[in-house]
Amino acid sequence: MALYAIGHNQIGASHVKHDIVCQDAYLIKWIKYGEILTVSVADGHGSSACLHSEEGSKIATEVFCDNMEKLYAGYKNNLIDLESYLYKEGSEFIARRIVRDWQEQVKERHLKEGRAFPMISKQSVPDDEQDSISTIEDESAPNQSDEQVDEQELFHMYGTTLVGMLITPEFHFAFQVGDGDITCVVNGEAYSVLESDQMLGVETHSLCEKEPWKYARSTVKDIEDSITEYAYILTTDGFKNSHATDEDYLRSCLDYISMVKTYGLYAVKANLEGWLEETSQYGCGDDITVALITSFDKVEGYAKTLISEENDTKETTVSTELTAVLAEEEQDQTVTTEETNPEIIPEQTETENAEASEAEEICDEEGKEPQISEEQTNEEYPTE
Amino acid sequence: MSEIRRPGGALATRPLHFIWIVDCSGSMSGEKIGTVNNAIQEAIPEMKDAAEANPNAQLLIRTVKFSTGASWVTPEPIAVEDYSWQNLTAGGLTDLGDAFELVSAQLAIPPMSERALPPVLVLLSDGQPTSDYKKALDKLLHQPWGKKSVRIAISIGQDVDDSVLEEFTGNKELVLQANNARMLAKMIKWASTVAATVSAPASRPMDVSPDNNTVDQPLLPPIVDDGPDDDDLGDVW
Repeated sequence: MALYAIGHNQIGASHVKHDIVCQDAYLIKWIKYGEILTVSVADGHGSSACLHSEEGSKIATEVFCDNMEKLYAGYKNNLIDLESYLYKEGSEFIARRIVRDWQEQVKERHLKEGRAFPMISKQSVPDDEQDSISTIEDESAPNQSDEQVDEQELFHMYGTTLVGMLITPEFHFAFQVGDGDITCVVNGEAYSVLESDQMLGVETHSLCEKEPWKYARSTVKDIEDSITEYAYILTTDGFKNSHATDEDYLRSCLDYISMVKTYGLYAVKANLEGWLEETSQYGCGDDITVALITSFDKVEGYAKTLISEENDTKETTVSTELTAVLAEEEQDQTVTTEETNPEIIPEQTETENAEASEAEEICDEEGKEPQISEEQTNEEYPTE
Repeated sequence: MSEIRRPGGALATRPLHFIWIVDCSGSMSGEKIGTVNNAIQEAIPEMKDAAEANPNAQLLIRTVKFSTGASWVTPEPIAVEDYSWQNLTAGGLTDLGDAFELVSAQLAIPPMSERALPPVLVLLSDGQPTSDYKKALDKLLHQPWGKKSVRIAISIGQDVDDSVLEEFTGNKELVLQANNARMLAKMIKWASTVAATVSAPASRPMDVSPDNNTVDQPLLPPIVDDGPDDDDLGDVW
């Protein structure tokens, strides 16, 4: 069963209006092209206490995918053990690793950018929190003073949620800290993979809060032989919050996947920006990020083309061959076939985008397996 | 590439409920209720302007009045663009608990939506409750949206039991003092602007208080200036 993946993050209508950068990020990383991938979506907080959250969300997506990749490398010859391990340790142990790596990278980024560190009086730190005393080697930070770096405040600056998945032929692993959604579409039905935190208003759990692993949720799902087609949609909360009801949100998930079947991933990818822009504009105004993972592309042999509204909206059904002809004649009005699309079906020599470029870097010359040393693997995770 | 119309379910902005809870007991009669009527009426256009500036929030207003018993002035929340203030009259007791009961019922899910923005509750009162209010207030504060609501009280005159209002707001600083008509009008005007603040929310981690920043909910009461000449102050209540 081949895998396909696309994604897009769209700056929110209210962010455009108030000249605020997009604080969402996503990353799709192929561990084995077309077969095994890890994907993550993160939503940096908009609070003024989180002034570098757009960087925090990007770091979070990278940290998640890196961790999944290393984990897979440690168990690549025994996925059953990996599945068992994730089932047992998915929420807490994995979350601790991700949080630790995220915090380290946040510190590195802050140092590298030469930003001022938030300081706190040493006396104000309770004894039982002394282990959180910063180990940052910041030359700009006063060494002799009674102050130390306030790590919690530092992490708040980069605060973000995180949702992510590892998808293998044998099982799927889903992970989440904070808001956002992972929805599975199978057999014409859409359902949430992980239960919502049920938080109201604007608060959410976050990688930046104290002991965030306590709030991590995860699940492992076997792939049943009877399931030949499935899809996942990972989104930041701006997507769900823009829908009138939860049912409308699930309707959109179903329809987006239906569009993949009808028009193909390439057409959906090309239209995602417009759809999400409209969704934010007429919805909650927040940034919206969507990553779509499917085990299928459009139905072979057919391509439906919707002529744009400027050309008197109408629907036509044309054969693939005709589509190709139309593509030459009127490039703006036809659905391109997947053969012309380097973004959807991952090829060893081509990249989907910046994420795929990273995937190439971790593959060996045959482009098949990630290159991670045993030493590194053993250090990070127990091996089979 | 062809343009395909957006598929999917219905979109909607996030609802923001703003509820005036107005004391219409006998002691409010005369200048007090008159000032309340005028001030809220004058605040509505500004609320409409603020709502237009935040098109991704649907500001919904309604009023509960309480005296001997309590009732909604309008049966359903009304979108700010369609809202107009209906003048209230005063007379009767101060059954604040009944008002809390009505509001509490509206803060449950449903009728409130999980995707709403934190509701704003503004209580205006000049007296002491004449019936038990604690049970109803406790119920209100334990509703999912009751806990998350932004609660402001305007204490009218010097006979108010501010401890009751503080129980409602949970924050002494959000009990605003109005001992004359000018101050009451000013406090009502400020309270009405809170909707604009809440309608443009920014997500935040659980352990970051909205008080730590100035974007989320800058709920700092208006600074009372030295005021005009005594002649402009009017009667002190």
